[in-house]
Amino acid sequence: MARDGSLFAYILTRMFLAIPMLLILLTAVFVILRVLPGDPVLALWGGRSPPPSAIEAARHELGLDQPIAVQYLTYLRKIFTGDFGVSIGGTYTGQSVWSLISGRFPATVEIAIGGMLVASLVGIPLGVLAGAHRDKPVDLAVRIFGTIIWVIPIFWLGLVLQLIFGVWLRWLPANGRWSGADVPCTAPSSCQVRTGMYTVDSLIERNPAHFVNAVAHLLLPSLTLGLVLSGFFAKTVRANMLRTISADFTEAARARGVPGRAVVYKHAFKNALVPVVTVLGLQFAILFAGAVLTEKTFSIEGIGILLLNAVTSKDMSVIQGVVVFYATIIVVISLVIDVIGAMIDPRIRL
Amino acid sequence: MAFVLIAFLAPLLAPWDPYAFVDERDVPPWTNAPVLANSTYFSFAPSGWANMTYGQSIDGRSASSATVNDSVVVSGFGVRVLRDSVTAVAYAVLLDRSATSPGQYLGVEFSSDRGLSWSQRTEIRTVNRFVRVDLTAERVWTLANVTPGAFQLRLTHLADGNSTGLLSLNFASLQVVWLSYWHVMGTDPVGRDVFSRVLFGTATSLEIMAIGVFFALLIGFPIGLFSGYTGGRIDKLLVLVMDSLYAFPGLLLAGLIAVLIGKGVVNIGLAVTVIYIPLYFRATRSHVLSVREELYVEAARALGASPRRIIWRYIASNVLVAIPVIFSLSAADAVLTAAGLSYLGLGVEAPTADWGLDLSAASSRISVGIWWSSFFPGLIIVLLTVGLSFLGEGLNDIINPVLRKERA
Repeated sequence: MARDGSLFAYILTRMFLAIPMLLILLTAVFVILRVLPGDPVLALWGGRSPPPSAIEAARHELGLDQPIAVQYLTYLRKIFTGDFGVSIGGTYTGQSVWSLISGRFPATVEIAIGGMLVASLVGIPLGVLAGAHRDKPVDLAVRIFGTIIWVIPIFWLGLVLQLIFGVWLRWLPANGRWSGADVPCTAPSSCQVRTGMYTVDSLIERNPAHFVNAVAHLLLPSLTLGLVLSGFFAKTVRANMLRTISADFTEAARARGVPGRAVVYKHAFKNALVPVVTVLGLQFAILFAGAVLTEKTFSIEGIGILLLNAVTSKDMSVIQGVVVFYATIIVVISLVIDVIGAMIDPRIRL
Repeated sequence: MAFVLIAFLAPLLAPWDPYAFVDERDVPPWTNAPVLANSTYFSFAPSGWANMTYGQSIDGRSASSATVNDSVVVSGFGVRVLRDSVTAVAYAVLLDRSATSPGQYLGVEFSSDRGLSWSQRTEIRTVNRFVRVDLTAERVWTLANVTPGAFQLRLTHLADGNSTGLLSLNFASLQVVWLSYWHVMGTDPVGRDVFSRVLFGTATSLEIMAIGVFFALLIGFPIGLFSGYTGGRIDKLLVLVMDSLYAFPGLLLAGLIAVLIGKGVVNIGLAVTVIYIPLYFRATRSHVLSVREELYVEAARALGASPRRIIWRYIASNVLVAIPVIFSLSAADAVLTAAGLSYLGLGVEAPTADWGLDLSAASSRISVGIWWSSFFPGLIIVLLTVGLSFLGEGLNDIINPVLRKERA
């Protein structure tokens, strides 16, 4: 089983590479939050100057009176033991950072998955279409669409969609995650597991009306995020289609007398998707940044809004927690994507 | 390029002061929208009338007069009329039934010239219901007639026969309908001209973009040159650091830094820089890697040129060719990031004319159908970014004809 062995080895190497990446991100967060100006203790007092004794006490409590190296090690130890601390000020004073994050993460996941879905459903067919009809009007149209949609500000697209479908046509709710008070799985007995994702929860409790409610609210945010990303998807798929369509194996298939359509979709398309998976993995950073804007536009209480509120109130521990959380997710996702890529395409492992 | 021109010409092009409240709030574009201004009086002459301040609001309490034929002059109607385009003028009074004795009624005269001349007296006997007296046809109305102080009402307590008693006035107001100015893009929720702000915002956007991209180039390019040329352990470490930074959501990173170093065009520009350093680093490094193996570099090395000379003289100049393309592509992205930052409230502060800020300030009006004050700032962002990215692709095709052929 040499093949499995090398895949396993690849995963191991990749994981070892992920650790320094995570460390660098954690260090960057630490440096940004501690070294740059902006005293969290002063921020805690909302601009009024607190009595010196209070400053000292707060500094001691937060461990800010210790040397920076000790602070750094304590910070790393706490993160790796999963201790994110409690919020030290602003909107969320006293709440556990971890519970804040886990409470809001499902909303963000829903948008992110919805966005990815829309981006794939729109972007990949467009890319294939453009790749298959190179330099035809279809191709040109797709390329122009891809360029334009990719540089449209997410929040502006969101507002326009909100205006058209939410305000003028009134087809879809313009804001929020849910209409009404009965969010899925509120009654503890109704579901055994509760994910916090309203679409999944409503499926668990087998309530079609709830599912429709959740999906209707999810549609516009997903469309907003997905359309912007679809421009990039279309371009990537197109570029890879062009490569595979002129590749030797496609030529060979054509030479064997495989009809043109089958060549495009069976041979070229399948092979074009492999590098696309890897490239799309890199888009998660953009997806998360986009999710913040989408959450703000559609007033969805996700993790982006949490970070935004924490940043505006200089709530250091929440900022730190969310950023570390983001960093971890990004590192893990890039790991997973690389492994998937290696599974599909053995050449990557070499 | 047109945008640079706009940025410099904004003060000449802008029809209005972008910071002044020049017109009514939320005026739609392409119309002279009728605006209803309505205000009660804010000053009154001494008289036999009691509790005159109670007549300023509809709250059940009334100004009252107990003596027949007592007059009071009320003025200082604070109507907000910003343009000499008055189309309708009326006053409205509300008499209180419960506190008005039978047979008592109100006589109203108006003056539109600070009390120099007075109109005929109008008798108002209706109680507990608004009486609106339209004055539009009475004379030619101008802005000067309805400015606070110019328009006055003389209220007189009248009575039938010899009856006496109380006359109570719950409310009196002046209503003016005027036509707003004509705006290309309407006005925002505080009455500023959207078009002027969009023009002035161009400068803000371009400044942030230029600072961000320039400093990113200034930092990322030399590091990339050095890293790519030297190779080895330092190179690996730098690549790892830059890749980690690159993987993190740039908007969030910039927002974090922006909050910590303060808001201002320059600071936001610097915050944006952080995102693009890895981009320039990567692009430069990968070009260096290919140029390094070229024959002429090999030759220079063989002739005993110092590494510094090789880097700057032979490699840098060849790598620089690729920079304009990245420049225009990252410029589009920098504009988006800056706009996103101000949209999130982490960028430049109000009242600076900034597209993202204006869009965000007006975004809550979308739900009531007031779209223009957020739509247009967004549209201009799209125009600029689309322009920049087409410019980038065009440059790419010109500079890298080889690449184009390869891709084709």
